[in-house]
Amino acid sequence: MNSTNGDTEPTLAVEDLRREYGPITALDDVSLAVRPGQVHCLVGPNGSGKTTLFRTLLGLITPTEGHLRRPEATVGVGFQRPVYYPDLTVEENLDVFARLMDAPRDGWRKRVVEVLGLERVGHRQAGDLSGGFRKKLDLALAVLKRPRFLLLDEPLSDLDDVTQNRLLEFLSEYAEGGNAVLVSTHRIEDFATVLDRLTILDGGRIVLDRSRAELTDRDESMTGIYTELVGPG
Amino acid sequence: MRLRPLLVKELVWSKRNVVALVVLLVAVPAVFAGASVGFQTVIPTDMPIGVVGTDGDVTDDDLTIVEGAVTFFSDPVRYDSKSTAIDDLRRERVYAVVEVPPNVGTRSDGRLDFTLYVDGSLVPFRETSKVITNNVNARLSSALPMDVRISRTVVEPTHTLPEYLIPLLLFGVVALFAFTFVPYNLAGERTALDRIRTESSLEALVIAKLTFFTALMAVPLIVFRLATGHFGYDVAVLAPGAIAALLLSFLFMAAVAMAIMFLTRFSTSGRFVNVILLFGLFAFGGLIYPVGFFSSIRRAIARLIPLHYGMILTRSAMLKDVPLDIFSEWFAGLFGVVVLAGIGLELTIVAYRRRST
Repeated sequence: MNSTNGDTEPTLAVEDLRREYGPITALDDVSLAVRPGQVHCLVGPNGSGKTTLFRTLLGLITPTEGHLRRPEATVGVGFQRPVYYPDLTVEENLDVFARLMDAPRDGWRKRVVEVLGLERVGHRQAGDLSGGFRKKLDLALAVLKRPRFLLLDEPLSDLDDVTQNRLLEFLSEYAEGGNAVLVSTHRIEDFATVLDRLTILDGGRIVLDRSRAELTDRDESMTGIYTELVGPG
Repeated sequence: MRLRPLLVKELVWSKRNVVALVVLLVAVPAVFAGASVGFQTVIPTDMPIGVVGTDGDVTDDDLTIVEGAVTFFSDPVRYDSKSTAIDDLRRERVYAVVEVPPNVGTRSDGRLDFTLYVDGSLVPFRETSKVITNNVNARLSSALPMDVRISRTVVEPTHTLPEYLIPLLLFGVVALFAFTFVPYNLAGERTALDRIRTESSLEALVIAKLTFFTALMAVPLIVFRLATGHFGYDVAVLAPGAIAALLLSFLFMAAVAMAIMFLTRFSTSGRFVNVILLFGLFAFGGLIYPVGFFSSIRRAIARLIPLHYGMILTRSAMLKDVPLDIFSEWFAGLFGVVVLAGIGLELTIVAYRRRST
């Protein structure tokens, strides 16, 4: 199932993907490519198959049918439900995973900690943190090794407004630096200003996959397009 | 105080955790009740006893007569050579060896000198072996028309009961760690598992844990060494054979415990199953008492459990002056089951990944 991309530009992609859970089809005939230099927004209502697609891209779920093409490049991931060691402190979590990822303890790590406002909770046990700080820790772990492909599932949930804005700015810069950013969310309006590509998933199928340039030709807002295709709820 | 809503909540919780409750309230009582069968016999009536001739002049008839005499209270096992019989005595395959002089069946007067070999390190068997000596004497005297003398010879160093218990207690500590702490620790990993899978692999995680925890077993070994030194016990806690047997046994138990946790997706039921296995190991593994003391069913069950041999190896290496090569097959067997447990663990990891949503 897994293969690497032979193209010069590394691409994380799935082709003709189908995933079934017994009688339920979570994903049906889904093809998607995530490329460097873009903030790629994967949007869909609850239960549309976003997380299944997201986890398939990470290789955490084996598709029933279809192919996954993983790039020969680093991939960082932020999970919908933060993933970390609750018994360790924030600093210890960063240290443990930095070693696992071979990520150097340099200025980048300092910047990540600053952007996410984790400085003052460094010595606190991660399991004792509020939901917002847990999310921040998860995001810090996602970008710690400066991955070429950054995949984030609902990255803004639980974050305060200031951190949300800082993170959006950060993601935009990160993609401009030649990295790929894939964001899975059910709130298109949060990412309307930063996205370079929009994929809308509904009922396990892709109903729209366009670049920002293609979308701006349409005389509609991002939210309008989404509502038209998926409905208000 | 509103009890009813909380009682309803308990009911709902119970429905959600029905597997754990079934294990605790149905499976455990059933296993415990069933375990009583294994305790049918606690006075040795059919323990294996070796029968061997002193030299080539001893005939099959001579041996058959002796076997017939000891069948009343034991299950005789015939050997062709004394060294094989004594090796099996050291390996707890038999609990005594009767050395038979020639012409038992043909002589009608004079004196016949038999020797009964017992293992001095098997402390719980010491008094029993004296009774067996008397029994052999009485049975042979009544069966044969001549004067019968039985001399009891103790092979291997004699130990005190506390010394005998040291390998058992150490093995218990290792088993407790493997079946309780290891599953608890692995279950605690669940919150970080997805990141481990994306940055490394479950296999790497499991190997790291097995390596770390196996190394950690040096701590109880050192504690026991210090304690035995303090009390002046004659026990070789750090004998290479004992360390090897303990660590192989630990690896086996830890791999099984982890496999159960992957199979049950780190649920509470998995932890209960591991605790039940721990109880089962002590109830049926023949670890505490020489297994020859118990019913033939229980003896057969114990001899199917690899850890039964791990315990004997540990005990033998700590208490006896025996070359390890008489146990080479057992060490190879223990290593083999560790490899098999590792393969089983890998299969449960593969199944876990396949069932991931």
